[in-house]
Amino acid sequence: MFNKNIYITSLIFLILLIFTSFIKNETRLLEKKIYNLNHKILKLRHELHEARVEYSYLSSPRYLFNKLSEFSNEKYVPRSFSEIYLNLSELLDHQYQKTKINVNHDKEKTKK
Amino acid sequence: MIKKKRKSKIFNQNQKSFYFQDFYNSSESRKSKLNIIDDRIFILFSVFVFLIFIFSIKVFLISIERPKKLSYNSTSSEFVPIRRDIVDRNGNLISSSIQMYNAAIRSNLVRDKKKLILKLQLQFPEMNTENLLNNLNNKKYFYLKKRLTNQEYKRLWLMGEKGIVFEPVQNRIYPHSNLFSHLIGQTDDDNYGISGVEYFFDKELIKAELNDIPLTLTVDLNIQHIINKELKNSINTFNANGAGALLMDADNGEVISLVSLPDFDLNKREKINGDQFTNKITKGIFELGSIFKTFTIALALDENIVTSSTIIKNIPKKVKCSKYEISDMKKFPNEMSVEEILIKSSNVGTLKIARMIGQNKFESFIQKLHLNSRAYLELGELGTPHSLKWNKCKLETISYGHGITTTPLQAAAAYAAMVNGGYYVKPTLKKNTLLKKKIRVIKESTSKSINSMLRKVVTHKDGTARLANIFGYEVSGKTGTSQSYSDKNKNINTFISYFISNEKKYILLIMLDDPKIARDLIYDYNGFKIKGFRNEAGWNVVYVAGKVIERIGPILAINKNNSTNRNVVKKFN
Repeated sequence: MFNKNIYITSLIFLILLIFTSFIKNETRLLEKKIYNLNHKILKLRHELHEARVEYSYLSSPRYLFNKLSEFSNEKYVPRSFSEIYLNLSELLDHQYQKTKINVNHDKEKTKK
Repeated sequence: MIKKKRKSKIFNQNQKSFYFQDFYNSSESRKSKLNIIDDRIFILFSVFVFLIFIFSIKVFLISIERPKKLSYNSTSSEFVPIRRDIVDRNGNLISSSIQMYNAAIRSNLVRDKKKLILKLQLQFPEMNTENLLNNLNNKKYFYLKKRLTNQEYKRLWLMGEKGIVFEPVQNRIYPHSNLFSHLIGQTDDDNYGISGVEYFFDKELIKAELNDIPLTLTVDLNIQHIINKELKNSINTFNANGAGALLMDADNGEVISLVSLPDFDLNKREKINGDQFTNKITKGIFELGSIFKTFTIALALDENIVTSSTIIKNIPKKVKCSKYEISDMKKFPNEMSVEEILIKSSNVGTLKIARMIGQNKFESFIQKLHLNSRAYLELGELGTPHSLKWNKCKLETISYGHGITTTPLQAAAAYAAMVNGGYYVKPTLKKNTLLKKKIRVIKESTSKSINSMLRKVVTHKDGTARLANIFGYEVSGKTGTSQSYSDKNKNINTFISYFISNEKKYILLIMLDDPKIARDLIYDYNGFKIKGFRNEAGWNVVYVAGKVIERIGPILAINKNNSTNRNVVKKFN
């Protein structure tokens, strides 16, 4: 009376159904985990946010200048234009020239 | 088994009676029995299928159902900022939201009111106890203190009073307190912007989807601090009422620093009253004096009326215009080139050039430079200059910067157009990479001529801005000394300079409100050490601008794109 196909289909359907419920259950557990992790992330983000605010206060130029004047007697002066190298090649060129001058100077000394 | 077999021999189950015909047809009866069983199985199967069908529909519905988004805002322990952070061009935090607590009292939960007042008085001696008692007797719920500090919160919490309720609220905090007071502005108790950038970008700042992305401004924290410090020093040195400064990129209009003094602490949330707290750069309206001479000469050059070397002959000592008598502060020769007129800042010479230009051209040029319209910047506090009435003598007085008011911001933007190749660029506070609209206002050749003339104002022996000649930055600019629009006994001294650092052009405006002679200050002038004896812009604002450029120049020179701090080293020679 029953077709064999119907049995097979029903069986597959049943298996799939069981799998679906299993997967769904696993998903629910994963979602819970995700929720907890998100919760932790939010807490950490909040802590990071507060740390950033604190950092920006503690590293603000005004605060640093005050601390510097409290704990150090050194005077800081702005660097003049002639003391700035804008790229590495400029610095290396200058170093090369300087070394060359020093070598020549040493040679002259030894000759004397 | 044997018994059963025997039984079957004796009694045939299929036999109904003795008669032969009464025998059942065995195959038929089996069939009918099978039919019944099949029917039952079918019914059972149908029931199961039906149940499975219902169950599967439910499972299917659950499967296709989208998982509910977990709400992270719901619980009080989780903090999600209502407003976005504001950062400077280098990512340094300028404004941020933090969680704070308001302490309120639920009167009906307080058992012993006198005891509570005593406890509170011990913890907060400054608290008004009469008011507190009144509130306890008359109000069901009232605020004891808003925006508690951490210590205050702990002290109140440790009291263990049931009637004290702590309401978590979000509040804006400004780590640099005074530094950006005129720029950033404030928010109200409901976290809506009420002034400055907080007000202008209010809608953008409360966009939930952009919560993780801070609003990046064009300002630079370190430069802002340096300029602020130098201006505060200058107020002390020159005994000025106030000061203002603006630093902007001449090519793209990005405002790198904007300072107006006196300033105020944004975190205190006090009511700020008084004219001295007006933002002098964007809202303050001033007659800026001689800095307007640059515009007059630029227009004359652009219209090919004169060249920088054209000699203006017969320059009188005084010019009578209506009831006014216009003259120069110093004695100048009666023949000067256009360049000399600008370098020496001759009022009468500029007036003569303005007459050669004519009113109509001058009027449209002022409109092109947006000098007399409402100022523009992404702030709530913007000034609108007084409307111009072109009556008799207006052209003459405007040519050297009198009888016309504008904000320092507009003047700086117009100067940027003079020196950047002739393009007007709107000043901006918001950092973005989009190309900004540029409108040509003068020819490139005119801009070049103006650049060279302004440079001579700083380098020429008769120039009015010699104190700002800082080596390496090609400083140029024009000074302006004028009377305050509101009080004729007060001076407003301005210097708009233009300098180059690492191939980028910057406009720096420095302004002092009523500076006095700094008699104790020793100037390094032309290699001589001299004490302060004069009060014009060249002796105060120019000096301050020099100091500022000397300090900010190296920072601006370090362009992040092509060099890093490691490459900035000290030469050994």
